[in-house]
Amino acid sequence: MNKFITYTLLLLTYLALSKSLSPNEFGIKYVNSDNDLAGLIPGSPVSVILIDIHSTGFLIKTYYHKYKIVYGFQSYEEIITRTSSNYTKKMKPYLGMSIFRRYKKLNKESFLPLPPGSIFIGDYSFGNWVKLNSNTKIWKFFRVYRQIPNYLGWKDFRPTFKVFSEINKSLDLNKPFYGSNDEFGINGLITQKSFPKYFERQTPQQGSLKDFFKTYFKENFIQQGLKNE
Amino acid sequence: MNEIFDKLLIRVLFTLFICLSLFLYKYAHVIFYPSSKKQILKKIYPSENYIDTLHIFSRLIGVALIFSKLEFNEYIGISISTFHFVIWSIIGFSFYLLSITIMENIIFYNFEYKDEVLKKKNPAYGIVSFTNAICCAFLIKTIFHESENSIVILLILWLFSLVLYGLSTRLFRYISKLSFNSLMIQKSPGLGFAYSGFLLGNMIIIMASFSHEHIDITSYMVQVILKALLGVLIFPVFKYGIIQIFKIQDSELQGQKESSIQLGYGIYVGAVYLTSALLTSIIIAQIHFGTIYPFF
Repeated sequence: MNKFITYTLLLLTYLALSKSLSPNEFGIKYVNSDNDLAGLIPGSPVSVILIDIHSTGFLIKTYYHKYKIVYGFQSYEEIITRTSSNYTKKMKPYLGMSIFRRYKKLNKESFLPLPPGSIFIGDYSFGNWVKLNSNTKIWKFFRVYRQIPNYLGWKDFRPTFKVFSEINKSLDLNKPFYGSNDEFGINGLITQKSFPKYFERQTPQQGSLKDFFKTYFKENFIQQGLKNE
Repeated sequence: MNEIFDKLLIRVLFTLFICLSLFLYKYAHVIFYPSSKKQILKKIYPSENYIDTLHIFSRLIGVALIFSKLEFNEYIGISISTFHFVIWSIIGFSFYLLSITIMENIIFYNFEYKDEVLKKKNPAYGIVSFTNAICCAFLIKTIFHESENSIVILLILWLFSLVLYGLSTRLFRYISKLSFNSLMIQKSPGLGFAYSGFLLGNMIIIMASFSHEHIDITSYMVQVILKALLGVLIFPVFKYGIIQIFKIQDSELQGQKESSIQLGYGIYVGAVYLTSALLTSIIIAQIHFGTIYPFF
């Protein structure tokens, strides 16, 4: 019994020391809610895009999110946060979307998932509406902000006035908006093109067991042997 | 051809230089072991006292182990590399001999070299002393590697390893039913084997704890402590597993005094401890989790 108690105490000591002293615990902030995320983002106007979701661990998973923070008046930055399984489950459908934005006006904040950069569309400080031959109005950034669409990962997406109206409607209804043709979100084609890392990891490795053994023995024994010679 | 002869000549010169360093070591040994002055400075007759032979040659093996870590970089210049070798040899000798002195004072606090080796020819003392010298050499070799030519880090790691190793030697009573002091008086080789396995096992776990990359010394030391603690947690699982898998019965020692039983039990204790420590070292040092950053 004494041995068991001693062992348990040692185990608890190890866990406590690992938790408090391990370098892995430093440097990465823990985000478990929208408000935690807002606390990490300085300034305004700013749009935060969830660009990657990753999990490590075999039986007990640790979840990480990668965010791209696109500012109005400076270059973007990327941050990685540790998070929970529930928050990951909640945010997964919104991969590639703006999940937080802070408006310049009164520092108003919104957590409604919208296409990336929705905050800049319709803001005349950043651009204006250009009428095309087809009578369709599209949003065009001023020359000085021409890099913002690249930061946002828009690829060939050009927001029309219709999209702008739908964004405003979604904000009023407090309902996520994935784009007129669902271009954004985890199933969106633009998301898959702009932020491919998550999707690359999800793709199952092709090849048969025979190929696996063939490659394994070739790489580990045959090629190694030739290198040694 | 000239170049080949030149390189060969340099190797021969360095060989002679290492022999000279060993000569220096002989006198350094006298500083730390004045009691054995006569033995090491006179001619050695290995067949006369095999315990003394074991004692002396354990140190020689230890020194060779430390030397095997040092490097000559001829491309930076013969004089600089020779100077570097001399400096680090002296540091190595000093730390090694100091380690042995300190550890022998901890392990053999009731026993004297003169009495046990020269007068009594105690095999238990000889075996334990031999293993201790080898263990100290391996520890010094490890910290030489980890300190990466920084004398400050070397000093810190040396003190740290000595504390860990010294503390671990006091745990023998918890892993074995053998009484160190009484069996040492009885000159039991069984004790020698058991304690040797115990020391080697501790050394392996400590070496494994030290084997990870370090960026700053504080977090490195924290990792060493955590790994050593992890070793303490994993070790009993392996030991219990080995005993259960091979159905080892060790309860028959109680009340028995026969030397063959003690020898068998001693070998068993040492071997199981060493095996468990080697297996533990896999868990604490050879499982690499990597980092998320390159993939994320």
